[in-house]
Amino acid sequence: MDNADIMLELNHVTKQYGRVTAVKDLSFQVRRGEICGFLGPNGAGKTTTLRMLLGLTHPTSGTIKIQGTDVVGDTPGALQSVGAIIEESHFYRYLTGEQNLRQVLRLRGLEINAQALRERLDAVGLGDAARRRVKGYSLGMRQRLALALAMLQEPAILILDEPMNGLDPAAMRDFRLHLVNLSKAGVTILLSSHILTEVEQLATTFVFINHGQLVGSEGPDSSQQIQTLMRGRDAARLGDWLASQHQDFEPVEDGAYRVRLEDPDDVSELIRDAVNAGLDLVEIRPYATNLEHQYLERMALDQGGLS
Amino acid sequence: MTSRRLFSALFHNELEKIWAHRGKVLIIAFILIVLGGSFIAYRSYEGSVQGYQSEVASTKSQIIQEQHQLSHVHGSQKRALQEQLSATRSTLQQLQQNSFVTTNVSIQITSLKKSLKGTPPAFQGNTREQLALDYYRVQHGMTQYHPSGHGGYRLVGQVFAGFTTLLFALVALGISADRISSEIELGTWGGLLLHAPRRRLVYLAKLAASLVVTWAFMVASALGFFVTAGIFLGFGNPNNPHAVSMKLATINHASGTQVTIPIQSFHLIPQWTYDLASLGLAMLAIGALVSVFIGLSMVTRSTVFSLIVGAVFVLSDVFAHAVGSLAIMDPAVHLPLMGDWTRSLAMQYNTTTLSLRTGLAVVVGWIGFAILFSLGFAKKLDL
Repeated sequence: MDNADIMLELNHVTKQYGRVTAVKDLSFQVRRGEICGFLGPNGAGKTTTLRMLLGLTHPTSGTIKIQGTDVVGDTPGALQSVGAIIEESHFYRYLTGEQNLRQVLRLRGLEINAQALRERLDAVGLGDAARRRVKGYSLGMRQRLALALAMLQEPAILILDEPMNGLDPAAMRDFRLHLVNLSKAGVTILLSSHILTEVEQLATTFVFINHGQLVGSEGPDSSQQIQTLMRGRDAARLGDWLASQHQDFEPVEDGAYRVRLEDPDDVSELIRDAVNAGLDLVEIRPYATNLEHQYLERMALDQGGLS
Repeated sequence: MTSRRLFSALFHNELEKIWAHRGKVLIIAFILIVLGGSFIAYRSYEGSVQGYQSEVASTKSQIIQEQHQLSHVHGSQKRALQEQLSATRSTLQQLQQNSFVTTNVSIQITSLKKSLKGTPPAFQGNTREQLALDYYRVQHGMTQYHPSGHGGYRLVGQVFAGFTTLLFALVALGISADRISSEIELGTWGGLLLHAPRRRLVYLAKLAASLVVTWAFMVASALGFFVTAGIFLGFGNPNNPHAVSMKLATINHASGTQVTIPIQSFHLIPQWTYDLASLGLAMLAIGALVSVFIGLSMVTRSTVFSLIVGAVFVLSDVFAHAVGSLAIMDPAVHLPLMGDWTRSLAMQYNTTTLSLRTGLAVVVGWIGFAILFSLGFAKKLDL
């Protein structure tokens, strides 16, 4: 992949509110067609990051680019092909669903006839409620309206903050399928959500943040890697040995390390070399890679829970 | 998307939002203000007619009583009573000639000329103004006129040249005080900036839409007053003159206080010009308040707070006297900007400084300040 495939790019972004640092030196990229899960606990700085990406607030330092265009320098240009759902979806409660969409159409300079607009609302199951005021909508209906709104101009990039809040299981499934289809069609998606199982099923890459800082990321190739957990009686010695072997590893639990290997045959070779080096291994097993595990592990590491 | 197209879309959206959110309230306010104002004018007219009729009746009854007493007195008492009776009959005659509904212009000129002779030159301003108005009437073929000025034309001028403009200031407050704060409170500001990421254009569109709706409301109310009062009281004469740009002087009154009085008043405009000027000037003054209200809405980020501060701002002219000549700087004082032109505000505030020029300078100054400040503030208005 070359640079032309980089759709979203944050470089050393910091955001301060007075003395409080909401985001600190954050850098990551999202490439074309990826569904990137953007994960972190409450107050980690996810929403601030998404707001900066959407030009709703400006970074104190660092740069944010969307398709190579600087968001601060040229916000309209950068956001030209971006659709978004930010936080809980807010609409003009005194306008109908259809009027809310028409407001956005006007701002985007798009012409859609009444029939086409109704079809967009039908697609998210709001056809019958199109002419009802939004104040009468349930949370799920508002989220579906938000999705219709985000998709209104067939965006190249979708930035979604907790888009599945309030959706029932059937709507969640439809939403998930919709995102997968969009991704296949080349749409890049940055997805922030607390529902890890949903993100796990969707995302191809992951970015973890905590306390406003990047605490880890998983690339698209990581799922194809062999990940092995190794625990030695002497954790420090095992760590030193792995480092001397130039292995791709990191501490995960007390005295244990996760080692990434390219080939399944490398596992037996690693064990043999460790035994030959005189290391006292007490546990070797495939490393569980479910997202919840990874998430909790990253957060625990950031809290200093691992040595 | 070009700035012009985006502004046009934002403006269209704002009108749609104002109509959907405030449409019913505006219709109710319109009906209440127009019908209420016309009803008050009608009641005032009725009251004046009744007052006139009761004065005529009481004078007639006095004549009967004096005639009855005349047959019971003799000598010097009888002569004195005869003189009194003659004076009462003359009063009745004058009342009937110069009836409430039709003041006879030539009789009034004669009477004013008489009164001028007995008035010191320093206090002749008001009488000279009246004389100038009567000569204007004669020149324009008006031999009689309605002294209390009832009717459609007059009511429009009265409403927009008086402190009833306060009602329109409150309507403007209701339209504009939540233009930006409600977006922040409802959480729609983020979505709005996402699709229209030019904060200054968003602000300008909101300002323009608030001004258009407020001004449309004022023009509709003027037409409403004109038609409603016209139906119940008649339309009146569109050429009835008004004095403007009078030269004023502050003089020492016999009571020891200083008073501001007109000393020359020969700039006369007809009623229809007065009405249009009153409406136009009131629209400009209310426009200044709308600019301030939207700025408040942006700075406070709270609808309740901007409503409270805005209401205090509108009502500040009530306390304006307390700050002396500084009151001139208060745009609320200039709400009936026509009052600056007719110099009635100058006489009310007892200062010759208040004129149309100073009023316009204050109002335009506030508009400029509010817009420039808001444009600067809007640029960095984050969520």
